[in-house]
Amino acid sequence: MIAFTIKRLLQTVPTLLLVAVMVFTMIRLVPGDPAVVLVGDINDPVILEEVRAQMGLDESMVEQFRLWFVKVIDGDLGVSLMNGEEVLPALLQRFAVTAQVVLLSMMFAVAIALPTGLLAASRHGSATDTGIVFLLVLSLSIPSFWAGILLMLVFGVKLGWLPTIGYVSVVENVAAGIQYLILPVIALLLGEMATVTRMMRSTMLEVLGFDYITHARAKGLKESTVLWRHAFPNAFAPTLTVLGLILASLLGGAAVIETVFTLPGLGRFLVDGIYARDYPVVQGALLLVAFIYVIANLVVDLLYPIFDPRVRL
Amino acid sequence: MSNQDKPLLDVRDLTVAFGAGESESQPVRSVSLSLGRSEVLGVVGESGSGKTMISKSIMRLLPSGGRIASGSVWLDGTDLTTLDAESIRRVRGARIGMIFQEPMMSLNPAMRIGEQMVEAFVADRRLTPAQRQTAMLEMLERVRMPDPDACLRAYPHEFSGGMRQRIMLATALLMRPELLIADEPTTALDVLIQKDVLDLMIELVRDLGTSVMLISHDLGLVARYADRVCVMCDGKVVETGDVATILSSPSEQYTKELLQSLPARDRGRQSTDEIDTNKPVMKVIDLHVEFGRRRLLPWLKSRIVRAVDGVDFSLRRGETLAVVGESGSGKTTLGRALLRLVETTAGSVEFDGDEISSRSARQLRNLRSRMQIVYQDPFSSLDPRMRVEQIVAEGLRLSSLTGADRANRVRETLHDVGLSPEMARRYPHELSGGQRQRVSIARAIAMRPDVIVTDEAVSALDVTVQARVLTLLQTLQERYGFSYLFITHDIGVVDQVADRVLVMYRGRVVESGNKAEVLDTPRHPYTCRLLEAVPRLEKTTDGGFRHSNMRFDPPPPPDGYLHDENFLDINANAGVLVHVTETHQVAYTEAGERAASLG
Repeated sequence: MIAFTIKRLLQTVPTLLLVAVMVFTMIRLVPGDPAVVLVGDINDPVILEEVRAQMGLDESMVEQFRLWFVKVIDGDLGVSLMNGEEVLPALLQRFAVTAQVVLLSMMFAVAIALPTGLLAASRHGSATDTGIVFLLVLSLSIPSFWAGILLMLVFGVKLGWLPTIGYVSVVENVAAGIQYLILPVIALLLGEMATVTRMMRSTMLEVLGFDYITHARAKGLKESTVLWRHAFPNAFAPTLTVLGLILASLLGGAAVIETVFTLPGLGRFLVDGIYARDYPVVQGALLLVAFIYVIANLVVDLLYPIFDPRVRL
Repeated sequence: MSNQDKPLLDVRDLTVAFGAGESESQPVRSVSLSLGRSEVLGVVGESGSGKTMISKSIMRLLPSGGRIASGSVWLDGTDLTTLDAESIRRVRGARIGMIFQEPMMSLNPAMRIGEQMVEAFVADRRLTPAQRQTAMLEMLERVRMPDPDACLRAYPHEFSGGMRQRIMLATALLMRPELLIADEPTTALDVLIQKDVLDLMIELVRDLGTSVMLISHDLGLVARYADRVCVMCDGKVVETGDVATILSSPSEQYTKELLQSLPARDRGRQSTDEIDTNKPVMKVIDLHVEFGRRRLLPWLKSRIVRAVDGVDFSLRRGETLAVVGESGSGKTTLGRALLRLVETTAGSVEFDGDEISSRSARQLRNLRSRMQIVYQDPFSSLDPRMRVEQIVAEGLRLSSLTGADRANRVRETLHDVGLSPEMARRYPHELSGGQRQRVSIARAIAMRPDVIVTDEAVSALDVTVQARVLTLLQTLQERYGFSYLFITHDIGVVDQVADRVLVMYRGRVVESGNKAEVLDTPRHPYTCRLLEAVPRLEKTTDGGFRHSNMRFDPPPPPDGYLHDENFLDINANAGVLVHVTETHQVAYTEAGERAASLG
């Protein structure tokens, strides 16, 4: 297992390297020049050239990459072209906000989805099952930004129970922080919950058809024991893979939800960076996202043998 | 005790129904059967006969949608059909144990053996954990699991099919149930292991006084182990009675048919004289097929499996050469290697005088139409999106036939395999298993090949269907002169169709010869064990059948050789093939070598 972890971590090196090269070249292929954005309305080629030189944009692409890359290896992602902010601390700060929202919503989504999927599968074809499937389709069809806006309207504007937009760090003010998190978490949760429930329901249906389930029943076990002890772990293993993918993609930036609720998260940071052609920010953010993907999948792979002992690392 | 006279299990007038109204189906109709104490009752029937549904309704574990429409199931004076969910749960496991067919699927892959076994005590709270542990170890000991302690801590995937089935048996018998339902307990296992497991099961239940309901499609197997037999067809009991009586003088037409369908020698061909021995259509010399990776880096282990390990044989025109072996013997790989469906590692395959093992894929294409294969599973070997006529005609695209000729050939071929012309427009899912296998055969013979490899082509079929398909294959051979390489694990089938037999074990040939030589006077210890393990029915003079327990004592080996007794040992040197007659070859150990290895 340790050997596996080390091997997988070593495998991430070429992945991240490739991402670095691609991100670096792609962002430069996008039309637009950060210097122009920064200089703005001042229509003076001399100033523009000066700014470009300051930013290091007058060097060749290869040279630019070399300079950037040497620093990245040192753990220095450079400074934002827009406001001179250190990119790495800024990214981590933004990531913390995204992680709070995403992890919370994921936790609740899983807590609701697993029993719901189990229930639907164990009563396959009944009214309960049909009802659950209907709700699943419904919540899958609602885009999260629309759910977010609706939630804001109802709970923020009409009822006035919760703040609509903005963000307060939980570290600074626990009560207010939580209040600001509730709506985005719920908006994000709906889709995740539906995906996980659907996955759980279908794998559970498959597992319930296997002989070892009938065997468990033939031993005289209670139905709840059969479901939770025998069926659940076997059905959960494939679901875990899906969980890892959703988690990774959301952690990489829940840009839409962050925009709706004006949360200072990673996704929004990235989007702003792209608009401003803020090369160091975009490059750093995408590297971080790739890293998150790799780590999330590694964690899933490491957890897998707990649920399926046939898988050996 | 009058209680002892009454049957333990009494199924009365049981009807099982699925669906309702128009779409209602009844897989079990008015079935009555009874099972005495310490009795072994065999329930025999083909697929769809409802035999499994009976066992599931006794346990009240019918799949969703199924229900007991009428009738009753009495277990020692209690009607199980009227019990509430809680009470039936107390019967399961504690009073009725169950073993399933697929040992690979009937143990939970995510739980340790110990965790699964201990659940059997759910109904019995009296025992302390330590006592439970002792009971489990004792039971594992009794089913002869090596190292029961380690077994409890292991996961199911760490065991072979036979070992898992022993674990299942131990689990089911842990609570000393009065009744054990064994539903095709060994169908998925190799013959030798099947015999081990069933011998063990019968020994144990005799010891514990457990009654057994042994459900199987295999009449020979039931005859060997059961006291009484109940023959089922189409959801109904056709005939019940004493095993010997049913075999020797069946009273119902269906039972007679079933018995007649069993593969038997006297319906097969006896002579091989007419076959031209001079011109083999296919000649295989020292063929090796290896799978797996050689080590890439010096410190890694190489994982090479020698699936076929130095096989020589020739296949003559118009003959049927049966390749017999257990799973893992390399027989399937051998068949595929002949057609170059897997790459050979070494050795040569000559087809009609041409060396083909080194041909390029392009050069092979023309030869391919002269060598065809029929697979085991008629469900996955036909493209579900193609109509029967398209499936049969596909290979003809390579030929020089015109469109009209092709259509004629398809019609003719379908007629040859006994399918009516309207079948041509059907899709595979609209056909039965037997019909699909006929389509597979039609696909193979449409191009009039020289050689047809049949890889367990009749193994998935019911006995009566199997008998018809075997007859068809023989008729086609007589008409078109195909050579068959007939790969099978079923000795009965070999007996019926083969001219010559090749016995394989772990990638090597251990014995080969004419059918009579190999099957009647086997000389290799493996062949002997294999033949002894197969439950066989033989015809009696008055037209009935009886179960025969065969014993084979191989004649002494030729001078300078010893019996290849340590063939089971993977590390032992392979025996050398010695001609004991002109046609009969047997693997022996060289005497000098044994002495050398011992010294």
